[in-house]
Amino acid sequence: MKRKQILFTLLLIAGLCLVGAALVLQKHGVPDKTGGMLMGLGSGMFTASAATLLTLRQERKNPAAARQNEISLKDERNIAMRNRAKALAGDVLQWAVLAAAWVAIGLGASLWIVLLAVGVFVAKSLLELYLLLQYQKTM
Amino acid sequence: MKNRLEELRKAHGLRQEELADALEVSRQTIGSLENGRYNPSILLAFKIARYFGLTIEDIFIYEEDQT
Repeated sequence: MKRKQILFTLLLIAGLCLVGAALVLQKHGVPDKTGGMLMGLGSGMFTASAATLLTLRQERKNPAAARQNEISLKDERNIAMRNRAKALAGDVLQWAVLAAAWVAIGLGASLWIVLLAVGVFVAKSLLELYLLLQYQKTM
Repeated sequence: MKNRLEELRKAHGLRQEELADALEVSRQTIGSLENGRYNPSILLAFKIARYFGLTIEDIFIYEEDQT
């Protein structure tokens, strides 16, 4: 718990530093793209760390609720439902990406957009195959 | 797969929350097990059997024609 708190406090500070750096660097002529990337990363780190720190604080105040959260997180039915939902969402998204590529062709979009969408589809298929082979070895 | 979980829980005078707490699962899992919507892993089945001092076969009834 203590280690988690230290880690997320450090991440929160790092997030703030990145946001600060983005603001300072933009004033000194650094391109908007770089500033935007720093700002995105920093604000993401800050928000995620702040949310985790608040949760840890709540759990410290209410150990019974903390235990319930932990049980809920490790509950095998919850894990099975989460995994099934993730798998189905991944499948739907994969075909949606392919549909987007097809629509992009119809709309006469740049070739790189079509190739990017098809690349994502193929990459997901390959990753799925790789993981399947890994699981066959270990399960 | 049928089971006698609800019958055993009630015979022990337990609420779903209490059994869930003892088995370290959510109350919803106990509810789903009791009404047959969810079949437990072998680990949870052992945990349940040990909790009631019975064997898995005493609690869970496998039906041959089930897919």
